[in-house]
Amino acid sequence: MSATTRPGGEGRDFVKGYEQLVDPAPAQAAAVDEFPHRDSLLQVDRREVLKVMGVTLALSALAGGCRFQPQQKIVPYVVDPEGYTAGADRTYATAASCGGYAIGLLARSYEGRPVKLEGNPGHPSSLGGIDARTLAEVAVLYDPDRHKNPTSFGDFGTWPEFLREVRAELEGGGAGVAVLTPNVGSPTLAGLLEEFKQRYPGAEWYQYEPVHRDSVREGAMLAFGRDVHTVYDFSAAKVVVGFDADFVSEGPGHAAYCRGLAQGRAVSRERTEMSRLYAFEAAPTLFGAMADHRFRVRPSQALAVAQALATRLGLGGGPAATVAGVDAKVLDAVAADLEANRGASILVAGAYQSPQVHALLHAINAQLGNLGRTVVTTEPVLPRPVSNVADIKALTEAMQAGRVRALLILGGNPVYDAPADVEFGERLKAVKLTAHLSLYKDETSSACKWQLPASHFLEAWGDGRGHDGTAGVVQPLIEPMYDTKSAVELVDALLRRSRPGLECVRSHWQPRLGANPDAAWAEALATGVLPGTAAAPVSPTVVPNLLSGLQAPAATGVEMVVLPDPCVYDGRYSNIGWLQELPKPLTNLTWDNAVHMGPAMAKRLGVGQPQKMVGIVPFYGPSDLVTVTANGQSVTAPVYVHMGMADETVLVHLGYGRTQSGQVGTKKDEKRGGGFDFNPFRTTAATYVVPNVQVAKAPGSYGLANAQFHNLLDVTEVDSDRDIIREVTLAKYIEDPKAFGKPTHGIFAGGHGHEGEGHGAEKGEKGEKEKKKGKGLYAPPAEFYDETKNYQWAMTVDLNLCTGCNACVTACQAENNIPTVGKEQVMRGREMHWIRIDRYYRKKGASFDENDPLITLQPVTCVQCEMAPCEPVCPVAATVHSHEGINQMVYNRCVGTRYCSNNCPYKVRRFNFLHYTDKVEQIPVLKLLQNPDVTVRGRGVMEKCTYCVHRINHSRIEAKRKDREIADGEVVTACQQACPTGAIVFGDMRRPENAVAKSRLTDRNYALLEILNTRPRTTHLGRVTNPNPSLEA
Amino acid sequence: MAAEDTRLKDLLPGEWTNAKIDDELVEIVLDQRRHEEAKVKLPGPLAKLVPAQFQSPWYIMLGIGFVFTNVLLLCITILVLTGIGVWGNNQPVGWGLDIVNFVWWIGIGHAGTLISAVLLLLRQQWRNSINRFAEAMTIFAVMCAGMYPLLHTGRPWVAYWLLPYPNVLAMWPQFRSPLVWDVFAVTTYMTVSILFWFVGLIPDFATLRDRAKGRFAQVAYGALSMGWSGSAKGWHRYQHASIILAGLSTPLVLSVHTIVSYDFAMSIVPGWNVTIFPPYFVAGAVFAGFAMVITLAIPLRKWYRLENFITMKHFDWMAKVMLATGLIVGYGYAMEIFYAWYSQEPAETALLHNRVALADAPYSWSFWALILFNVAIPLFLWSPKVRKNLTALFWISMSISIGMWFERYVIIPISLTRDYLPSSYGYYTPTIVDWGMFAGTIGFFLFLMFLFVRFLPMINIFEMKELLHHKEHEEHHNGHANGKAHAHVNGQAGKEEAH
Repeated sequence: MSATTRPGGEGRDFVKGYEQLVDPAPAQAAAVDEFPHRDSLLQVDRREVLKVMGVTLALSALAGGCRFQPQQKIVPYVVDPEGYTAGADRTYATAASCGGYAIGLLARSYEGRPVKLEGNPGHPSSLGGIDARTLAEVAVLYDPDRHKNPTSFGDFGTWPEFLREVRAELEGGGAGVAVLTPNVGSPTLAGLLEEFKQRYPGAEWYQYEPVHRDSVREGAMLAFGRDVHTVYDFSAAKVVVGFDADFVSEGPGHAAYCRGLAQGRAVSRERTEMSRLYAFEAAPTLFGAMADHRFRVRPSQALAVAQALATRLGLGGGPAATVAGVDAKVLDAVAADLEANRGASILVAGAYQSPQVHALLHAINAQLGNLGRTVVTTEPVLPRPVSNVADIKALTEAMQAGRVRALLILGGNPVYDAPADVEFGERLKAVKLTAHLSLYKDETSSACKWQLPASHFLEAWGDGRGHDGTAGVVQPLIEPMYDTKSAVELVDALLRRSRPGLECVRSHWQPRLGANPDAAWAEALATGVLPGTAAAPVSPTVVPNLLSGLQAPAATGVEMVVLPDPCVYDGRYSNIGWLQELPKPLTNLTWDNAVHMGPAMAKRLGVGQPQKMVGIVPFYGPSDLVTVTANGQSVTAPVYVHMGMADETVLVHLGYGRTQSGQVGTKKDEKRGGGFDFNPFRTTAATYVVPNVQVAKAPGSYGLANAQFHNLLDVTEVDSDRDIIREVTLAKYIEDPKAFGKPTHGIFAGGHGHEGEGHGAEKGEKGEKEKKKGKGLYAPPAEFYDETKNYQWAMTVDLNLCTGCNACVTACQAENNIPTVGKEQVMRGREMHWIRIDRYYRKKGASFDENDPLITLQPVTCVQCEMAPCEPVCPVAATVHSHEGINQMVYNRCVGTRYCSNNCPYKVRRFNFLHYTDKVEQIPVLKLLQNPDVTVRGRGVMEKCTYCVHRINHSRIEAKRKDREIADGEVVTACQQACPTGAIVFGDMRRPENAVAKSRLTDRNYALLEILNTRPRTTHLGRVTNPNPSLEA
Repeated sequence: MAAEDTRLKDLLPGEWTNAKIDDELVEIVLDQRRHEEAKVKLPGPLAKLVPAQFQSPWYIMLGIGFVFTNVLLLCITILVLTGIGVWGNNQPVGWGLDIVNFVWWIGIGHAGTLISAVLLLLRQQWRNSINRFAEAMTIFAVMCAGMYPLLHTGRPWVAYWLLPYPNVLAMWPQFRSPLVWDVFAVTTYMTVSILFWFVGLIPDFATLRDRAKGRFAQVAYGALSMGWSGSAKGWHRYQHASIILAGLSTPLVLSVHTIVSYDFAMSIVPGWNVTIFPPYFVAGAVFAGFAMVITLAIPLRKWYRLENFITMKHFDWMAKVMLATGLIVGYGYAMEIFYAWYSQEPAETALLHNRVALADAPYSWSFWALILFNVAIPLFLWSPKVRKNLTALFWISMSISIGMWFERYVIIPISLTRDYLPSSYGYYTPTIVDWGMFAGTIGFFLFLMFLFVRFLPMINIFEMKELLHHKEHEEHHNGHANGKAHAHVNGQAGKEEAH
């Protein structure tokens, strides 16, 4: 191992000699101090200083830098090691954790540097899917702003120095020492912390997670009298009723839940049944956008709705069976639907709903016989489940009482995100020794004495459990790039063992690996999963008289929902440009958060986003500012008029207004974004839903960078009938074989030049003939239809399965080295994403109600037109068609006239208006992030989706070597790979047995803007909704 | 015919001899004091700042031109160093003021060619006094226009790839692209215009050479006159050359702007994909060009006392051409609206809405500005009184220049802001560099124009003498043939008068 000689690193915690075991201090001093036997440089005399300086200068010049290089011999491969091919990528299984729950990953690595994370199909929490935030973890690894070596009060410090200080505090049983962690899901770390507590009985371990699931846990305890963990099987559910449920985009197992939900929604001529989704929610969620029926309900009303359902389902004992603002007909219909699908329905609530709602839904699920079928209850997955809010409260109380002398914060950022009323930052000042282990120097770091750099999970060994409890090993893919430690290593060092991370993890699992531990371990590393570790199911019974004890809180005043940001989450991803610039689902905001409210409320307050004239030209209107006041705190932030919000409810997101993040994340000005901090509103009593909020218009305005505007379809005359989204109800789909318009024309479908010909029954012969000949004025080149020759790549995107989770957007960004451009450039409309999620609003009933529209999402990327309008207009042939049907972009040839983009009806081309990749050139560590298979584009060239042509070519080489064709499913595009629902299908459409050909042959297949005869290779499968007939107007 | 008499008389009023014409026009170039004669009243603080001898129109205009030429250079430097991002162009608006200004300048150039070539072929004698500076205007306008296609590319250092040249890549330009046609059209246009202009200047260079006092001027003009001796053979060849060049230029008047319009008409962008574009762009170009000629002629005429050469008759006729082309352009706008409505294509009707609606169409003001400046205000030209009022004419011409700019603005960026997918709707706001480049090209144009006024004869000397010759002939005939229409044997004028 490398770092045995690394100064300050305490090496990789190898024991260097007997002295270290007996009395570590002197040995460490010797290991650390370049100038042993001196306490400080002050004791060095002048001559020696000059001497040392001279030598240092000479050496540093020789070394080419000031960092101490690991003393290793680097020998190039003369003969490649077995299984290694220079330049080829390798994939390792690992896992990322959020909130204590892991998602299994496959990390792709080139020459020892991980560049891309993908879902691990073998991991139950991933099933091959992934989400945008986890995808961006690789950008965290290479973030140039990461904390690189330990500092003490901002000055250079060393690990041994720190350990010495802590160990001194731990003398005598550890009383007065507290450890604060986020929710620990890692069995190894939890085991070590338990051991730590045993060794130092006086020490305390607290867990705090800003995006906590306390009410889920408390709800389970209310309902069952004990803590159980719930795992849902959405694929088996015929009816899903969500209460502010956002399991699509966050929480344990969200990627797997997306897959399950999508399975229930998959519909075709062969499978004409699908699940029906009802959403009762305050703020639009992705589940709500997908739902067949979406009802706007204020957060405090959710319990009443659940109670009304419970009463109707015979649970009795509840209060009145009606809810203000919700039609009784709706409740009747939902209840009837649930009744009709006993054992095959799910009622689920989001983490921010009250424990009462969670408890009641458990009771209803039990009543409907869903428990054990669609809703599986298990033992808790977290090794030590706690109430996060209670824990942080207890900790701060102890701090206030002076019972905490030393506080080690292993991750998290409590100074920024702890509930306001515990005054964590204030209490921290009273603690003598404080240390913060984190990836960044953030608000908490600078409030602590010691700022300790943490290893990224791709740099350190670890483990974690998925949403069903299945454990997996977190394998590092790269040596720690800086002088960092993981929490596991740090706690182990506190236990005076200082073992390497691998040893810690391995020794934890060793007794659990069965008869042949080495083989089992190797298997676990290869698959990323330790089999048989899923949490044990339990069958708890609902406590009697549950309903009578549930009191709905009175809905008073404006309610404010404080949720983690869909992109930067609780602020941990603030410094990641990919996520800052990722358009938030449904709102498409970037770089900022805002106060979201419905149009009615905005009108009442007289706020909005008026169009502003810049000179004589209208520009993106800056949003009006509103001041939100609650709990004696007030924040002034821009308003975002969010259609579909519940009345008198505002939604704000956490994770912004950072005062200390990196260059990207720290809040700056209106031009560069950074948002507003809403943490001050959170209290231990109300962390997610703050009642009685005053919202008032404030003077001034603030420009928000929105990647899309309010796109209304079916609203004004001019935007109707554009044939952008095809959507029918399930009933219509079943009865009408042409529900999605005219039938498609075989595999080679899409816009057809000969409208009205080759239809229906005759389509076979006539259509065949036509396509063979490639005849007609508007016919595409015949070579596309020579099935004997080339691969013909095609893609379908199933709008029925797409949840709009954005995973594809970030996957594409990571795969294709797509730069971020910054808020100002986004405001100018220059974001670079190759794939985007278009959002449209449509009317719900007869007329459009801006407060309550339907939301439809549609991923759009370059559709690779066979008759591409971009190609004939390029003056230098920089965009040309391949024989395989790909509309190729030749970056080297592009002079940047942007004519192709003007002529692209899908507007999927992206232009490098400025040198957006300059940071990649300037900051060496960012070079590591770039995918070596894809060109990094400079300024002045056009770019766009290539169908991940480098992946195609990779497979082509493989296939040619083996003298075979590329098999179906062998080429997987980055977006397809990331998609948790499998909405994207890609492949060679020549072979009718290939998945994409089959997909193109379904009668839901349609080409976007078919009327233009561009003949897209990427087609969409129309959306089928399954509304309840009794609720149909 | 009496009407014909008044015409020639009107075109060259006053008593003239060849020597007097020479004196009058050569003096502007050779007697440099002429440029300091006319004085401009500067506003208070400026009057103190600017030295008295520079308070003449020539210095003021050249000064303004010089300042903005530097602004142009500055903007180009910023642009090339930083990238297209310094402009307001974005996604979906790939082309903004860059192409607006390109088309605007190209359009302005058209009047020069029309006057010098088409009117020459049509034997319109009234062109004689305005053709020289109109041609100069053409060349300078094309120079301003030409820099935009080059600079609007993301990587201008490889913009030469648009040219068909032999190279090791064995790559040709992509000939299906209207941008490549543009390159050919504009470079051909530029070449022919310069040739035509220079050939026309040769006899005048000789006159300047003969009358120059200074050695430098004699050598310089002598070299430029290429040994012109005024021999009958020389004149014979000159006549042939100018007719051939006029023949070459005439199709260019139509082709250049037709091809420029193809940049749009060949695309599928709603609002661009309009079949009426070629004729309506050509008409618009002539419209804009004449407006610019009038805008320049009115002050130059005043400052250089050219009332006898550029007469009210000239203005009257130019105004009539403007009125006619303006009506064609107005018809074009009406047709665009009609097509959009008649097609009932969602994207087309949405475009129509986006252009003309007062609500929910952020740029409709620019369409109505266009209608005001380009259609409504030019209607005043129906009135002969207005056509003879130079102040009114000047401002109407200005209005047309602004209106034609708006036309391109409405067509080019505004159509792009909203096309097929509402999700990709966008806005377009030009930046200071956009405006700086526009102001800079205007400055560059003025700078070149006033250098031209000082160092080259802005009115064709020999053609004025020719006109005088015809006039004398005519008076002679009128005196002796009792006012009977008479076919002239000599030169171009005769055939036209026979009609």
